[in-house]
Amino acid sequence: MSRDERFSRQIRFAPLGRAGQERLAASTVLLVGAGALGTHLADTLVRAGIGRLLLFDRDVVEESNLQRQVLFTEAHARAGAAKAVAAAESLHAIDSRCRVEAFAEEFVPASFGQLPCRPDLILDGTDNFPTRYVLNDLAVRERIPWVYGGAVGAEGMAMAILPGHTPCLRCLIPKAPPTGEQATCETAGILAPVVQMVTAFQSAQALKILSGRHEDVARGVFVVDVWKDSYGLYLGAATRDPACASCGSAEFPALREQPPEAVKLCGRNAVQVLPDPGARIDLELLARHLRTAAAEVELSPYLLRFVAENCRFTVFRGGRALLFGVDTPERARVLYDRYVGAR
Amino acid sequence: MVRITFTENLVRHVACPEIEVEAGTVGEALEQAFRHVPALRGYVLDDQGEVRKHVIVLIDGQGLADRARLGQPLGGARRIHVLQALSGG
Ligand SMILES: [Zn+2]
Repeated sequence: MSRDERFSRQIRFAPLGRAGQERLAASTVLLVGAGALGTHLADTLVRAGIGRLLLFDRDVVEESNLQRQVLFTEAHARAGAAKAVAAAESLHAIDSRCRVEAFAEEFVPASFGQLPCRPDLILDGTDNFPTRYVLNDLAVRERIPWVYGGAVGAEGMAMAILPGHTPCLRCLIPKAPPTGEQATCETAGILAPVVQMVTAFQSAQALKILSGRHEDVARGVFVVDVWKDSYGLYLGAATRDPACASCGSAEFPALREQPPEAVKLCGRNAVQVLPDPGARIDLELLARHLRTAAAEVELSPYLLRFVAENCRFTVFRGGRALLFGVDTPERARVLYDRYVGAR
Repeated sequence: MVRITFTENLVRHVACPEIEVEAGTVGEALEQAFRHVPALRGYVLDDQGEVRKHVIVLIDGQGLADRARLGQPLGGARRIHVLQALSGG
């Protein structure tokens, strides 16, 4: 099938047109997070015909994701597949001409310098504020448009940021809510329709930005509650703060902080442990060692899974690990050193 | 009269039903809400009496000019939304 035929209904939409479609095809999107928001965004943009997608996610697929995270299947959940890799697999089946590159990694400030090319747009599919501030500070510093999105329960919020022209995320939300007050999808639940509303807004802004129609991008904050049925775009909700640490004084605090080496994942009984910088790990060798010390040892091209001391480990190439069934970062670090020990 | 609504994210921590109050400024309107539900104050304002940095207050859809200046007159505003930054995704 010709590409023209494939995208004919989108090309026929006059404000986008053939020129817009060509720009989409030449564009690269950096998408951080392949959860509920991220998989919807990836699905929409790859179907819309973007040229290249750089997709980051640090997590693995679980059964409880399937209710709202498109692109994943029961087989992915059973295998505990890395989300970025599983999503890339499905996206390839949807459009094999789109170049999708999966990074089963935490996105940190240093990740930006290691990207294969400069993205034209950054999209937020994350589930935490520290990563969002990294994206915001990078986007503002590099002058790359980006679109924030968040959703919990039946509520959602989103905003497009055009550096130099609109307020940034720090202007709207200078500081993340304290952990105890932050509702997460695990504590407050989440409905698929709110994800769809938020990502519909984000993808619409993405199509305008990528097709070169910056003047049509929504200025303001989109706020939705699909249970109370309130939907609004608040044009005056955010104003540029001259003292903003990002778009005002250009301090970019999120780009200076080191990520903590062990961090509890968003309301879940799981902790992520990062290896020491420069540590090397050989998953095949580790798998052989663990055959006697651990149970259910499974090795795949991207990760190693096993169970030890009632804790399920998922270790990625590079040494990053997710430990399920542990309560504290301290305990996770002890178990990591005991069984993985990438130092 | 101005109607104040709170995000479900706050309702999860402290009951804060929508209320209608008579007030001249944003600060006065919020004070009346706190009088009904005293526990609400700590979720909306910090110990300096400024709007907390992850809380968004909209007056008829417009953001506050300054988180510290709650003396901003309401004029004929009909609605105050108290929102919180959303993290999940
Ligand atoms: Zn800013």
